[in-house]
Parts: sequence; C-alpha cells; structure tokens
Amino acid sequence: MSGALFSLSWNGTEPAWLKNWRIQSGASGFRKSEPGRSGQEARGWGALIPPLLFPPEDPQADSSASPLPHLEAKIQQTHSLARLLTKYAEQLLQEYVQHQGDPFGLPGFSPPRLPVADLSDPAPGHAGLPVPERLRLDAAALAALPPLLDVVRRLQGELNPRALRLLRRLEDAARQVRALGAAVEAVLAALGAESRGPRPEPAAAAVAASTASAGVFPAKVLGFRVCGLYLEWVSRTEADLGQLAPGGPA
Amino acid sequence: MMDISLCVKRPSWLVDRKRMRMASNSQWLLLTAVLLYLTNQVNSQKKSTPHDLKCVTNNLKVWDCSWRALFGAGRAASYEVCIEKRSRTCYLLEKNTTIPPLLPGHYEITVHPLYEFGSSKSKFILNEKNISLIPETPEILNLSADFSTSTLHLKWNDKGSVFPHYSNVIWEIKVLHKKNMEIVKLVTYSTTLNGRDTIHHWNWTSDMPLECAIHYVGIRCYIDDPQFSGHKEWSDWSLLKNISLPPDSQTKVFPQDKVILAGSDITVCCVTQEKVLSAQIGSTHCPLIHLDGENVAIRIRNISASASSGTNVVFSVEDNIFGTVVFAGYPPDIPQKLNCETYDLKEIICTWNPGRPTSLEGPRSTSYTLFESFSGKYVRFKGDEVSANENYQLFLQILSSQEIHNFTLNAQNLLGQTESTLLVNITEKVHPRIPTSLKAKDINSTAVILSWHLPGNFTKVKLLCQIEINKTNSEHELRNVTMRGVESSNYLTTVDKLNPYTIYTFRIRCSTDPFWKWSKWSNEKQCLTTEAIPSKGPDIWREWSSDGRNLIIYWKPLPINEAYGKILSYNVSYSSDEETKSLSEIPDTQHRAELQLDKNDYIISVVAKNSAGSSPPSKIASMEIPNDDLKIEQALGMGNRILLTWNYDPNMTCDYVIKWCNSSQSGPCLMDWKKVPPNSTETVIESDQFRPGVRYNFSVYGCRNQGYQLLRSVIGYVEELAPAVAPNFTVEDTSADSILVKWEEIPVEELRGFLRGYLFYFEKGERDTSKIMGLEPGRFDTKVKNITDISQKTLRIADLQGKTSYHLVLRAYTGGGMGPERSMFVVTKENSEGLIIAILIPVAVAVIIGVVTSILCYRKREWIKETFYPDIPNPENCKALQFQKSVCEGNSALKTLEMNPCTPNNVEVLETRSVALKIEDTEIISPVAERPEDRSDAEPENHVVVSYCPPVIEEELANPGAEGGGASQVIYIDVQSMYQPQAKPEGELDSDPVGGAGYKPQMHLPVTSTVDDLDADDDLDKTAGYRPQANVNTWNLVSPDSPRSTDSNSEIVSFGSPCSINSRQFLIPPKDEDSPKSSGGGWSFTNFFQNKPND
Repeated sequence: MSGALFSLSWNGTEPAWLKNWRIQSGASGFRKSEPGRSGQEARGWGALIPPLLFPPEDPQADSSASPLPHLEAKIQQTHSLARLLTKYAEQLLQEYVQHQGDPFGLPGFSPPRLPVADLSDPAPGHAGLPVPERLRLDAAALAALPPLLDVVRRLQGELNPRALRLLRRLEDAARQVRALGAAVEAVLAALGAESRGPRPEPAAAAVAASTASAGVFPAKVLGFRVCGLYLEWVSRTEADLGQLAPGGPA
Repeated sequence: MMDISLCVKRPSWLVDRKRMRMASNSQWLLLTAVLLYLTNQVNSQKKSTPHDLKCVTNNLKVWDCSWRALFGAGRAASYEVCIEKRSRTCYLLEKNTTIPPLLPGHYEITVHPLYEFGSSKSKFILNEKNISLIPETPEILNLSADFSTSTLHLKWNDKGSVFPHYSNVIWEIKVLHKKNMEIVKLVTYSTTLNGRDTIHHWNWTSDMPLECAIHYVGIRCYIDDPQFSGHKEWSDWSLLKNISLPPDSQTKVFPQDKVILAGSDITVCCVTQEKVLSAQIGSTHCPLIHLDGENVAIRIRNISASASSGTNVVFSVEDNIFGTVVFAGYPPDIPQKLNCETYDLKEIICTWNPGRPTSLEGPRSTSYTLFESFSGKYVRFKGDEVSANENYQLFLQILSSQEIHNFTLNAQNLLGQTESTLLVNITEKVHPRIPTSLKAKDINSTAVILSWHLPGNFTKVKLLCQIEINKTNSEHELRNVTMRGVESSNYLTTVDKLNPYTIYTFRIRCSTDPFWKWSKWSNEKQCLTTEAIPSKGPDIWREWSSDGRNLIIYWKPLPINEAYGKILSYNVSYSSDEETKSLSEIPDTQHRAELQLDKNDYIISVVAKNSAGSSPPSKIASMEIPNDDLKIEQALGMGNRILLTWNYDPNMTCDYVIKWCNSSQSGPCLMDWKKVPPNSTETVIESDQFRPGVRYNFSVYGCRNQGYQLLRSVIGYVEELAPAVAPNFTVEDTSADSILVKWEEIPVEELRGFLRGYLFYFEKGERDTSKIMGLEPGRFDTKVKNITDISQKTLRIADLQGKTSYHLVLRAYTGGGMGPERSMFVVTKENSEGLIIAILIPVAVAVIIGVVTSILCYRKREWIKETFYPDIPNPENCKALQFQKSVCEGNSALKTLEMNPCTPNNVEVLETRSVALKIEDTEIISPVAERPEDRSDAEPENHVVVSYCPPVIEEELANPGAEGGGASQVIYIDVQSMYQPQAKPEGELDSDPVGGAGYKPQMHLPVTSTVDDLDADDDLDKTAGYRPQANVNTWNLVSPDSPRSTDSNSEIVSFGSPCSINSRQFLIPPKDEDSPKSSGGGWSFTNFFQNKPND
C-alpha cells in the first residue's frame, strides 16, 4: 500500500458527502478516513457510497442488507465488462483490417485520424481529470459509438457480405458498447455524478453515412477509424473503471 | 488542285524576237535587253488584268470563284464575267463571286474588269475538275461527359441539307489533354448526308478518368461525293470544346469504386493541390504519372481479380492519404445445370450453378432474372442473397393451365450478362416432397392399410409410390403402387401378403408418372399383424427311455414365421389300431412328453395351439425297425458343421432323421435332430452348440412304413484336439533286460479326438537329472516306439541293460495333435545268470579243449611219437645232420653238430630204472622252471649213465663255451627227465617200450645254467648214454616264445632238439599219453601244429 491519498472531485468542487470519504489507493481498495482514526480500519467499497444514495448506516440494521457491496459489485462487473470488450475490440479491429485488403492490414498503415462526428479521440489531456469526469466522457463516447458501429456494419454488409464473423462482431460490438455505456452510466449514477442532461441526437450516423456515400475507400477508412475509436474508448473505460475497482490504482 | 491556265494572246513581237535570235548570235545582248524591257511591259500589263482564277465549293450548289488583279483590280469591284461553251452567258459580278455549278466540260471564262483603264480581258478555261470541294467547318453542338464511366459524348450537325444529294462524310474527331495539348485520341467517323440536317453523336470512353485532366475535343469532316470530280479536301477543325471537373467534387482520387474486368488495365489518378509522395495498389507501390499541376496518375496493368472488398489504391501526401477501391472481376458465367422442377405442381423451383465466381460481391454481384416467355412472368434474384455453398434458386408460381414452360435465366453484372434457357413440361419434372403422416392399420393377419399425406396438387398426374417393408431378421421388400393424385393430398393403399403375427416396419416414398425423382423416404411406421393358426405342426422326434418302457416325445418350438402367433399350449395324443389317447394340454414352455406305451405300435401326434387355432398335427411312429448290420463309423467336421452321408435306400419313403448328442452325456442321448427329405443321401449338420474336441454321436434313421430304422451310427468331432491328458501307464514286469509296460485308455472326454496311437520314448536316465527333462524322440540316445495299434495296451521293451535306470515316457496322439506326456523311471534287475554263464562258458571251453587235445594226443600218440620222439630218429629229419653249405663252410656261429668223424672215447648208456614221476596236474609246467630241484633229486635214482666219449675235435675244443666242459662225451638222458614228472599209471610205466635201452636223445637240457647246477650236470655226465657233442652252455635260445628269451641279462638257457641247438622242439617220449603239456613259457599249440606232419 502506497498510502497516498487523493480526493475524488469534479466540476471544481468536491461534493459535501465526499469530504468525509477519502479514497486511498492500494491493493485493499478504498477506505474511509475518519478523524482521529487510522484509515486502515475503514476498508471496503462502502467508502465510495454517497450518503445521499445510501442513508447513514443504522447500527440496528442488518449489515447484510448494506448496498455497499452492490456498488462494489457493479463497478467490478462493469470493469470486467470493459475488460472483456477491450479484448473483443482488439479482435474486431484485427478482423476488420483482414477483410479490407491491403494496405489496411499492413504495419505502418495509419490513415489520418479524421474527426468523427460526436466522437472525439480519447485525449491525453483527460488524464488529469477526476475519475468520474473521465467516466462521464467515457459514457458519452460509448453512447456515440453504437450508431457508428451500425453504419460500419451496414457498409461491411455490402462490401463483405460473406464475412459473417466480422458482421457478427460488429453487431455484437454495437450491442455490447451500449451495455457498457449503460453500465458506466449506472456507476456514475451510483457515484452521484450523472451525465450532464440528455445528449443530443447523435449526428454521427448521418455524417458517417454521408462519408460512406463518398466511396468505398472512405467507408473503409471510416470503419477502421470507428473500430479504432471503439477500442480506444473501451480500453480507456476499462482503465478508468480499474481505478475504482478493488485492487486497481486509485 | 485547280489548274487554271491563263490564256493570253501572245504578242507578235515575241514571235519576232524568236526569229531574231535564230538570225544572229551577235545581237544576243541587244536582244536580251530588249527582252527584259518587253517582259516588264507585259507584266505590267498582266498585273492590271484578272488572273489566278480559283473556284471552290463547300456544298456543291455554288462555286465560289475568285481571281487576282494587282493594280486597282478588285477595287474596281465590277467585272464582266462571261462563261462560254455553246452559248455565252455573261454576269456582272464582283471580284469574288459565286457562280452556279457548271456541268462537266471545259468552259471559257472571260473576265473583263469594268471601269478599269488599261486593263484587258482575261480568259480562263474552267472545268469541274479544277474545283475544290472544301466542306464547311463543322460545329460541335454539345460536348458532355459521364464521369462515372469516363465517357465523352459529342454531338454535332452534319448540315446535310445544304448538299444537293447524298454523300458520304468522314468525320475526324480528336481528343486532347490540356497539358501540352497532346492528342490522346484521333478517330474517324463516317456518316452519310441525306439532304437533311442530321445531329450526330459520338461517344468515347477514356482510359483515364475524365476528372484527371481537362479534355478537349475537335472535329472536321471530309465529304466524299462520288458525283463530284473535283478536288475534295478536309474541312477546317472546329473550335475545341472542353470538359472540366465537376465543381462540387470532393473526391480526389478517380475513378471511384470502379468495376473493371480482371486482367484489364486501368488508370487511377489523384487530383490534388498537394504533392503526392507515393501511390500503391494494395501493397504494391506504383510509379507516378504526372499530370497537370500536382495531379498524378498510376497505370495498373493486368489487374488481378479483387477480393470481396475490392482492391485498394492509395495515394499518400504528406499528412493524408486518398484512395479509391477498384473492383476487378468477371462477367457472369453462363448459368450451368439450370433445372426447373416442382415439388407440388404449384410452384416451380429453378436451380442452377452460377459457374465461375465473378469476384464481385454486394451491390456489384450478379443479378439473375428468370423469365418465362409463355406467361411473361419473371422473377429476380440477387446473387449475394445466398451463401457461397448454396444453390442458386428461384421460385415461380405455376399457372394451372400451363404445363410447358420456356425459361430464360439472365445473369448480369456490371461487366456483362449471359443467359441460359430451358424448356420443360413441368408435369414431367415432379419431385414430390417427403410423405408425411404415415399410418398403418391391420385388416387381417396378412394385410394392412397404409395411409399418408403427400402435399401437392397431383390431380393431373399419376403417383408412383414405393413401399419398403421390413421384417425382423429378413431382407426388406419393396412394392410399387400406382395411384391417381387426389386433391386432398391424402393417400392410402393396402399391403397384403404379409405374415401373421409379424412386426413389420413400413416407409414410403413417391414419384410421379413419368418418373423424374423419388421423394425422400417417409418416417418409418411399425405394425404387428394379427395372429393366424400355425401353418404347420412342430418338428417332433421320439426316443425310448433307457429302460425301454417309456417313449419320450420331443418337439421343437415353432418358429415365429410358422407359429403365426403366440403358442399357448401343445396337445399330444397317441393312437394305435385299438385306441387313441390324449395327454392333457402341455404348456408352451414344455417341449417333451413321456408316454407309457404297451407293446403295440402307436402313432404319436403333437399339435401346437395359439389364439387363432391349432396347427396341423405332427405325427411320428413309435415303432423302431431293428438293424443288425450296424457299424459305428467315424466322421470329422469342420468349423461348426459336419457332413454325414448315407446310401440311397429306395425303401425309405418317409424321411431321414439325423439326431445327435454329446457322447459323454449319460442317459438318453439327444441334443438335437434334423429331418431331411427321403431322396437325400447326405446332409450337413450344423449347430452352434458344436464344440471342438467334443465327441458327438450321430444317428441316421431312415423312415419307412411309419417306422424308423437306425441306418448309421457315427461318432464324430467337428474338430479334433490333442488329448487333454496322458495315458496312465504302469510297469508290469521288469527283468534284467526288459520292461513290460501297460497303460490304460484315455477317457473319451479327455481324448478329444480319434485316438491315432501312442508314442513311447525310453532312454537311460535317472530321476532328477537334467537329461531326463529333455527326453525327445529326436535325440540319439532316445528310443521311440510308435504304437499305431490303438488296441494294444502293453509293450515290452527288450534289450535293456541290467541294473540300469530307464526313463519311460508315454503319450497319446489324435488327429488334433500330440497329447501331454507321462513319464516314469524304472531300474532293470541285475543279470546274475549271465555272470555265471560268462564264467562257466570259458571254463567249459577250456575243459573241452583240453579233453579234445588229450584225446587227440592220445589217439595220435604214435604219430606224435614218430614225429617228435621216434625211437630211432631219422637222421634225415635231424637238422643237425643237414649239411648245409654254410654250416659246412665253417660258420662258427652255428654250433650244429659237425659231421666229422666221430670217434667216441666214452659212451655212457643211460637207462631208466625207476618209474617216472606221476603227473599231478594238467597244467603245463615248464620242467626247466618248475622242477629244477626235483630233477636233481630224482636223476640219480632213475638214470644209469653209460659213458660215451666221442672223439674230440680240436676245433670244437677251442670253443670258449666248452671251456667248462672238460672232456667230450656222449650222455643219454631220458627225455622224460626234462619234464615235470607226470603221474602215470603204474601199468603204463611198465609197458614203456623205451625202458632203459634204445635210442636216447643226444641232448641233455640243463635246467639252468647256473653254476650251482653244474654239479648236477656233472652227475649227469657220469651217466651213460648219448650226449650232445657240444657244450650246452653255449646254446643261445633265440626263440621269441621262450620266456627267457626276453631276459637278455639272464644267462642263456636253451633247450630244443638235440639235433640243433636252434631247435625249440621237445622230444616227447613215445606212447606217453600223459605227457606234460607245454606251459605258456615254452610251448604252444602253434608250435605244436607248426611241425605237425601232413598226416
């Protein structure tokens, strides 16, 4: 255990409930720091549960009914899902380039990272943001990915109608990324850091469709880009959730 | 070219000048000067007159003529032009004017400028051949482009209305790129002028996408009017028109998503403002072709067929890439194996094989259209709707009124199209679907009704269905049924000729008539037919019990195909001439019944009953016909079968029954039986119960007059094995040289085959030695006796050695091999009699020989005496008297008697006065060896010495051996004294004719030559008688038989004939039958017979 402490804060201000809860990194996860008491004693995921979501613990209440393990399990599950999707995304990208022909599969082939509507690259500058804020960005990106993956699925359906595994992976990816996005949203909600209001209707699909109509090659590049973004975002989500998951770096 | 001649009248001075030049050369210079002057004058005059008349036409309707006039010409603007051929027509025209076309021929044209001073008329000869036809410069009406196909569309008007008649027109079109305005395409295009203005189109597809560069197009024409005899020339090029890039194009690589034929060439360009660094197709980099500005192109030759996602062509700039995808593929192959059939006569399904893959997928894949020409109906099919392995197929509804269909299958993609046709009568192409809902319902014990459902509208056709009938343990049977198709699609048929109480499994498939294809088999349906009375009675046999009083009836259960149901019970009855009796019902589990019968003959009847009724009775007679001539035979089988044969017997009218059993079983022997027809003479008995090495008894019965007679009794094995045990054997008797062995028979169950014999081995050996362990018949010291007489149970082994241990081994063998061995060790007895005999025989032989010898000697005593010991020796026989030359020549080595005149000086006569010693033993004892002392003692008593002294020869006296001799004298010594005293009867002694008188041998054998004996010799010397004339001390005994001859160190002792010192012969006294035999030391039979005369 490093023993280094840092606080979870976003939007510039730390919520009041969090002031009494401090997260300590280390293998044992997070623990509640109490005045005059060593943080060693308050271990567990209950340290992350905001009081607003979960009322103060009633000493008379049954300890087994505590919601703390639920959040812990939720984060754990989401992190596991993100990790799984990271692996799937790697396989999808590999499968995708195999079906596009050279030079897509060649080493060194890197088309320009053209902007995709509603979906930006995971910026390195996000590293300094608090975890909930990063998760909120993750959730936004994950929400923008499904329609893009659907577009890619449609384009590939015309281009590679017999590449059934690729098409199935694309379908699965769109569905799974929705699930991951919803799970991240749930974690954010559990953390009391819900995403900022309703998102506008994603224009990514329309833009992607127009890009695809420009020709097959731009459609391939678009798919390559979307698959790459999918991998980057689920990978980042996994990393962000890993900071919350037990055993992960805080 | 128009050749216009100027016809100007020559001036007369020119004629004069020529005349002057011919007149005088001296005036040449002067004339030249004059000529120059005059020429100048003429030219001045010509310039002022019209010349160089030129006429052209561009529509053949008018000729445009013009001429030249230098000074003021033209400015006068008015000329009088007169055309004259047969008539003269004058026009007042301008300088360049048009005239109507002239008919073929020469015309004189006179041009006279009006209002021009000093000018003169000009005359020209004008012909149509001098006219040039130069069409009017064409004008491009429209130039458009199809960028997707890189095709230019050119449109222009031929303005044919201006031409008076039909003419061929050749158009020449050129396409240029902006860069360097190089011509990239130059083509000719022919049309015909038909008197009307016609708009023409020309399309051209560029190798390079039109977006890659600005394309310019120009056109000109050439009118080839056959009626025009003048010069025809191309028109001028039209104004160039160009195609520019679409202004809103964002794509920078052209062409986009192009579909081309695999193996063709393609040019791909990149229109960009940035510098293109590289271009590649797939993973292969291509050299750049620079176009206008920064635009570049690459040329791809012989492109390979693309993968599904196409071939990527990528241009790289510094910070970006641009690309396009080329889809190289093939036009669709001709659809192969087009086949149209129907499952139900409601819908046609056409299938085909697309043939060679086009390498084009998705939107670029081949689309198929199936068109039926009679009905005009068609359906479409997109090739990417099925996976690669599926058949391509299309469905088309059948019109009820239409049977003949003419199908055309068209395949089309972006590279081409093909088609395939098929004409079918659909009622002949029915491939019914699988029948469903198969059901079976029994009608009776031999028939069922099958029903099934076959979807489809088969009312127009006949159905041909095939029913497969499967029965347990039986081959399946196929039956075909034909029926008319019904609208309800439900069908049924009756299946008869089935067996009662049998489980059948049915399934069905159908086709139509005429046959095209069978449907798949329906699911199976099982059905059990109802019971019927058994078809026949059980197979029965009878056996008498061991006591012979009861008859046991056996029967076999009816097989299912004869029982026709479940057998519930059996009824057994027996009848004679007098009565009929029945037993109570016997349950189906019992298959025997025992009857107590009297001495009558009975017929036993057995009936099997099931729920449907009773079977026909099976009958058998109790009577058994005896057979006195019955032998037990042997038979061998193979595997689990054995062949039995018998002779044909016409008396056997019923059948033959072969029963068999295991011979080792006790009691009534019946394992199974088999009935064969009466005309058979052999049968193969086969049973899974047969085991190798087990003896079975087979009995062949013949049936006649309802009675059975045992014809053959056979014991047999299906396979022989080696005996399981060795025979027990014992030693019955043992002698010194033989052993009597006796063994027991091997039990049948242990024998496991027909006994072929025994092998008996024996050899010397003792228990617990390694030698006996390896007793084998091949060994040199093992004796083997193969006993093939299997009735033999004893064996005497002779010629053995006494008191010796023998190892005996006995084993039996059958046709299946050699059985195990049993061994035993036996010691023979000691042979005492032989030993006795061995001792007695030599003794007896010796006695006999002695007796015979004695008898012989006795009977031949006269001869012996005559020969060996005559009363008066024959001097001729005396060797001493043989005057051999060598001797007479004085060989001093031979000390024989020299025949010198012998003058005895002293003669001693020795006479026997006492009886000789009696012989006490038959053993021959040398008198020399045995009796030296006795003789010395007896001699003084028995002999009277008569002195005789022969005259001494001086030479002999010189013999050193005679040194001790002293004086020469003759000494007669009784021969008998030389030997061991022999026992003689007294009488014989008395009758001895020799007495003390007569001849005496002239030799005296000294017993020893020792000095001690000399005294005795001296005594002897004193006796009278013959004495050898030599000193015996000098005699050398050289006979090898002499026991002393071997002793070279001993003093020399010799005895022999008195005639010779070399003689070994004894002088045997006459008539002395008991004369001593010679001992081994000095006498032998060999010597005896050696000198035997030939009497």
